[in-house]
Amino acid sequence: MTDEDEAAFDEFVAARSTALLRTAILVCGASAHDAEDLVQGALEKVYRHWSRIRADNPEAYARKVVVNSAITRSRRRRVIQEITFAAPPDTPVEGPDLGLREAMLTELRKLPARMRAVLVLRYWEDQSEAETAVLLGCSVGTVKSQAARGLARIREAMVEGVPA
Amino acid sequence: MNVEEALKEAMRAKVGEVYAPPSMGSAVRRRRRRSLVRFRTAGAVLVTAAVAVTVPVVLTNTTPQAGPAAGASAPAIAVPGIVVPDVVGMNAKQAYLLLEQAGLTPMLMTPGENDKGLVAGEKVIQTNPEAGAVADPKALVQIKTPWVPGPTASPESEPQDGKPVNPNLGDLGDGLTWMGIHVGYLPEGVKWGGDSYVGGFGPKSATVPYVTAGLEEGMYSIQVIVGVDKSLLRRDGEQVAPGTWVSNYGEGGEKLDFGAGSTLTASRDLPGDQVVQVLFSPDYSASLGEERARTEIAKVIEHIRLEK
Repeated sequence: MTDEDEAAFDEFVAARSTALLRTAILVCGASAHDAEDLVQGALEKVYRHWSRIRADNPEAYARKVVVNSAITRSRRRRVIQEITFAAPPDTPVEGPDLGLREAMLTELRKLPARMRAVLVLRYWEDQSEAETAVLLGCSVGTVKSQAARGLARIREAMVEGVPA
Repeated sequence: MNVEEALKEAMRAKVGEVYAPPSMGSAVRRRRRRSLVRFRTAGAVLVTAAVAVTVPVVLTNTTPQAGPAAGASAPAIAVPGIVVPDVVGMNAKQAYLLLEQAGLTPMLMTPGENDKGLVAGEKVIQTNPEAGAVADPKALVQIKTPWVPGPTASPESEPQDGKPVNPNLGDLGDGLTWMGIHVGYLPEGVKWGGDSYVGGFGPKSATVPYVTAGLEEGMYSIQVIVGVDKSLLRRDGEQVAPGTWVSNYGEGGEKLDFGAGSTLTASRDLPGDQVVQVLFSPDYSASLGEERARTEIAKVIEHIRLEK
């Protein structure tokens, strides 16, 4: 890579790595530390192809790599989730809103990885249905149905509030 | 609030305070370096230098302000855009959050470390564009922090190949004997992956992943967890031997059928206060098929014994 490529990559990482990290945490349900490892791995792939993709929407490419890596890891590596369940927080939720929020996030974590990714891309990243479909390599119809089913599950969690 | 908004709010609460470390770029290069790449910081340094040249040393004292700037501090004419808040002197994370809340795209410009042992400081010293400037929504705002001397590197926490090391059990040899147990059987083609992790499952816990050939880094085929937390013992599966249960669980710990998305899991109460859990990854389970996978996991956990 040229010096200009290197500098552009640094700029890209500085601007986008936090957004990618947040998305990775939400999609794979990992701790920040584990998600950081995942984002580093995804950025390494971006870096490898940087000369070719830097002029052609590298952010979309990076997001696609991160989301797909997060889905893969979420499916293959339950260790991350096990840590969450084996060591629940000592402090109980402090109020009804926090409880509701926690119930929703718990439900989100329970969703199949791909359905969770649809919800994260649509409602956290504000991606359109068409953009989400491109990122996940599926049809717009699949995005719609996955989003509807995922939201229905989350809605149930909202109605039920904090699980007993 | 509808469910979409509530979900977004919940996700914001979960990750809104999470920031990528400034060292992300250099960490990516370190990973890459192991296979082929020459390590260089020149690119990052050049960018930083460019910021230093273009940003005035003294910035205006504009009050931090979120949102569109049409009515901001003193403009006589409504300007479509966002006034860049003054974040100089703030902690870099606070500055990042403030700029983000203002509708801008913050960038931390100082790389995390350089080859002289310097690391990024915490306080913002400059921004570009400077405070008070009007920027387009989502425009990039560079945040510069100074180089400061880094903490003395511990050879244990940062080995030469650049791969970060978590608290682990060290060199386990064949990887079969650790934390007072011995893994007496592994299916053909499965061996220790070279990693181990301590403390992720409560006190006195550790986990060791075992892998098959060609598995991507960070993945596991079989994982053995040992701890004293009794929640590791899942008694709700099929009992295959005294004190030993097998079932499939989803990402949320719920019971599922065998197949993609579930992890075949065996747990067993060991003599004393220890509990052991064995996981077959969904991919590995699928490669064996349900019947064989269940037979093998029962055999693996049966052959785990306390090491005298």
